[in-house]
Amino acid sequence: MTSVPTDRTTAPATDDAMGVDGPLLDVTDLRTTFRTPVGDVVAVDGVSFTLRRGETLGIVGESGSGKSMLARSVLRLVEQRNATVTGRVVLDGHDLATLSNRELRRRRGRVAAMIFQDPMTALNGTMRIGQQITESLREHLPMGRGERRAAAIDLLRSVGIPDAERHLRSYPHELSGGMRQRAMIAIALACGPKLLIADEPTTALDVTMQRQVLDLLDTEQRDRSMSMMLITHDLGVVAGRADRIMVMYAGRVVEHAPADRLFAAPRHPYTDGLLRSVPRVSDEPGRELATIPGSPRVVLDGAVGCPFAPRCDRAQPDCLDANPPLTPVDGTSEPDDLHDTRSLHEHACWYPLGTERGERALQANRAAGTTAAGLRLTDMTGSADTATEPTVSDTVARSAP
Amino acid sequence: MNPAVSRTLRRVPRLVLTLLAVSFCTFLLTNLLPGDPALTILGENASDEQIEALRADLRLDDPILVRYVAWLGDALTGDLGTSYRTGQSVTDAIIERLPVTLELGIVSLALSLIVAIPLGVWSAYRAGGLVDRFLTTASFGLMAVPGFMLALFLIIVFAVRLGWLPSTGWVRFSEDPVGNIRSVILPAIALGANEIAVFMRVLRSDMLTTLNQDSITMARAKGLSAGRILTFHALRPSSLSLVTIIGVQIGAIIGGSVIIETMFALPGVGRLLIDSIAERDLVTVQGLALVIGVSVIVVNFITDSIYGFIDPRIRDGRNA
Amino acid sequence: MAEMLDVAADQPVTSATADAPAEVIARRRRRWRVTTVLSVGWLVLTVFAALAADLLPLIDPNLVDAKNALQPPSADHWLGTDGLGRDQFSRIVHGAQVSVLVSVSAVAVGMLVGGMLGLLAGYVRGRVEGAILAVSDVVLAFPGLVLLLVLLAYIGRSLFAIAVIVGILSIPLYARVARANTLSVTEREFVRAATVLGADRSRIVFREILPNIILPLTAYGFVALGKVIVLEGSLAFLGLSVQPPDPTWGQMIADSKRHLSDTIWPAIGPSVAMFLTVLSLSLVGDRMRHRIDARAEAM
Ligand SMILES: Nc1ncnc2c1ncn2[C@@H]1O[C@H](COP(=O)(O)OP(=O)(O)O)[C@@H](O)[C@H]1O
Ligand code: SF4
Ligand SMILES: [Mg+2]
Repeated sequence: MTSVPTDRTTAPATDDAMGVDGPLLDVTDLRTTFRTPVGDVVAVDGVSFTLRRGETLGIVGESGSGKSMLARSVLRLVEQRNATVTGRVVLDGHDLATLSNRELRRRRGRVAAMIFQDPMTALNGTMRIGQQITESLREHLPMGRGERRAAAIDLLRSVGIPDAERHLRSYPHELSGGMRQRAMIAIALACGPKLLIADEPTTALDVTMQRQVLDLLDTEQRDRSMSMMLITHDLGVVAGRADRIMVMYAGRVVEHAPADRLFAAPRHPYTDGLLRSVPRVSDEPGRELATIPGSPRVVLDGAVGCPFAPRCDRAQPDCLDANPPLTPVDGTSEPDDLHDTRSLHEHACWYPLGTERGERALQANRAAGTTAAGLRLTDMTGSADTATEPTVSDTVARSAP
Repeated sequence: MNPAVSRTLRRVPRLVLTLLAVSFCTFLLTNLLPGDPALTILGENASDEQIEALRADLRLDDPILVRYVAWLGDALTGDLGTSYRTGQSVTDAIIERLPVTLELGIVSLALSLIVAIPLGVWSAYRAGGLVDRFLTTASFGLMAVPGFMLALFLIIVFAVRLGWLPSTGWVRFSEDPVGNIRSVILPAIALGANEIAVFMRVLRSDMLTTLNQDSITMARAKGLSAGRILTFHALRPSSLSLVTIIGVQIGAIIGGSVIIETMFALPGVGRLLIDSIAERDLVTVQGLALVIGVSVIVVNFITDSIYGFIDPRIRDGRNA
Repeated sequence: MAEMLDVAADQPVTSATADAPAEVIARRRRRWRVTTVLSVGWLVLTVFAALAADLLPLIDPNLVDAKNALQPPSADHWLGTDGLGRDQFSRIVHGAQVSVLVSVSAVAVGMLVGGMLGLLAGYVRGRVEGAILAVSDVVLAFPGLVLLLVLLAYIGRSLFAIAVIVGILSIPLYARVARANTLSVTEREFVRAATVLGADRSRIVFREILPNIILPLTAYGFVALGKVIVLEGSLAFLGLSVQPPDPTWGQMIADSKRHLSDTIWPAIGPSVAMFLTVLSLSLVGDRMRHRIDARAEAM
């Protein structure tokens, strides 16, 4: 597990004293909807979380669960005409909603930066790497031409690009996949952001490259005592790297816990399903990976019931009637400090794992052979309990795509 | 070698072949017509001596290929023949009139790009908005106004009613720069208005694609200003189709200049073509056809080559 | 060991979810737009005017009445009179004949021959395709109007010559559209399957490919009709359209230029007629293209 640096003297000084004490990022009830002819598509549904300085928050969910929209909504980057974003985002002591466009722009890239899944599409293919770094520097920092160039070379070196001076003049397509991803990281880190949002930073890479890039992100984060939102569809990626993990489904947070707790004792059936689909080093060869039946769906505004119900092996009639709210697991909330969520474990499920009520629901469905939502259960092998073994090892093996 | 240069060189053989084919077709124009070409060229009331002289001049007794090679050789050395109507060298006649057409074409292309690029960018940037919807509608309307019709109404408003600009005639830049600009404005607008709609639509649609890409979100996440994002991160990657279409539209502009030059009585190449056709001055017509055909091919070749310099990915042979 | 769950095929969708991807949801509903209705209406009117011009109770379009030249619109002359006192309205209605005749025959020639050649090029490929493409490249190297003028200079002008030459000159354009669409159709599963199963070649061409390239060709043809109408106008300005006194819209607009310092009325009627016709054609063509695109997406 990544050690979280508590010493913040190395962090870039803030111009705002109150910013230093509070959490770096405080998101409350963030909600992003798209107006469409058939109704409002809810891409992000009332998400709240806080991120402390230097902390890594893993955000996990299948494709389409709203992770990217969440990331974009946080930085107010959702620009579609049919989109509405509501909720409060406080970044480094400033409520983004109260900032002018100009002030908002000053924070993007400078206070918070973002990297994307595929550098081939996220980088500007018609601009040299060096220019893509220096344009941020020019925008945000009082640097001369020569200083910017020197800074760009340092950045490329620090992300492990050999022959940095030459590569300043390279175009993205002239680099290999791994190098491109490193270049994108260098571009994002140019102005020394306090928050890095990494949206599936390794999904486009092969296994070895993935490790290298994740390690690079780790190193940079530690060196700069930066906070990070690490977004992935693959629990294996955040294992050992995230301090806390938020599991998203259909735009909602369905489970939120310290990483080790989440891996050891998941409460939400969806988290459990995701965990079972991650291969582990301890696996005996030939172990079949479980898959979650069905696929995620678009959620429309005003829908009732638990969005996971059609795919859930515990679904009961009341799951179809009411959407379970995010509730703390007993004994994990610390009401005396609202922002200290270090040990908080929340889940949104009426029949969670590890509760008598939940296991009864599962047994009942098994006995009936079907769930309240009509999902047919075929019990092939033994019980589910063995799957929740405590750790996903630090050395993460990846399933072939 | 610079990849863009070598990519250009690779396409030269094909260019040469097309040019040869076009020149051969042009050559055939006067030679495939039924009857005696000399008679066709000189007209019914030419004297026998004139016809004999022309027959010798055209080497009509040689096989057609021999004649083609001789004609092409002459053309390559800048000799497009002599008009039998005016006695002037066709090359000289063209060179004398070329500056007018060139200025008209360049000014109209520049004007339409200056208008079309910001409009196209804005309408993609605010797609679906009021301005965008207005521009989309307006572009359909603009496309439905032929150049000659627009020319007519420009003359009505700015020359006849307001009297601000001349409705006919050409003033050389060397004689009177202001007068020259005044004489080129209306013709250039009439010639380029259609292109505004064409360029705007092409740019808008490419920009829409680009603006939806991660690279734009990335640029915004870097805190860049909208202006910088639009010009450096959106416009440049979106200009490939625009460049192609400019090349394609050069032909339309040359064709349009024939009408516009006639309407505004400008002494350009297009006007020369019309006059030669009216007088059945076929030698001049043939020379003009060759020059125009070759120019269009060469311009298209050049715009295709510019591709490689705009997008380094294409330059290096990806998605080419 | 993991438990396997099996999803029943007819799994009911709970009210919490809608089973449609966002793209499908976001796609615009198809409907007849007002502009499309108006465009089609105008085109029908134009064709009707062309067909029925001689039957309608109109003033003789060539009746010269020098005393009443350059009249503004009035009860006698709805759109006024031209420089020779001829009735503008009647001339516009009769002028539709030329526009419709020239444009339809030119487009028919280009579309039939070009469509066939393009289909051939796209289906047979190989040398045939190479030859067709090479020839069309050469033809397209010349600006259409220039080539048309040159050919008219050699061949002489008549309505027939204009229509045929324009038709022939546009063959490469249709051939390109047809070829591109043929290529994309032959790539589709069902045509491949039919080919592999040894279906009759002519059956593939006529039953599978032809129906799929006719729509795009027609959409293109609509826009091309407008271009031919404009072309006739351009020729009129150059004094190369059909011989007077028979009215054409282009001829009328060109004539009006002579009287600009006196009155602009003669310019307005034919200009509006031509503008509306060209606009309607391009709107209808554009609408068709959108429908084809939507259909292709749905496949
Ligand atoms: N422009 C849009 N219109 C309608 N729905 C959209 C739009 N963009 C995204 N969505 C919806 O938002 C949801 C979340 O997408 P996204 O954040 O990209 O998921 P993830 O990053 O987790 O794969 C998707 O289900 C999608 O349907
Ligand atoms: S048990 Fe009910 S509430 Fe919990 S995830 Fe399944 S369907 Fe949703
Ligand atoms: Mg995503």
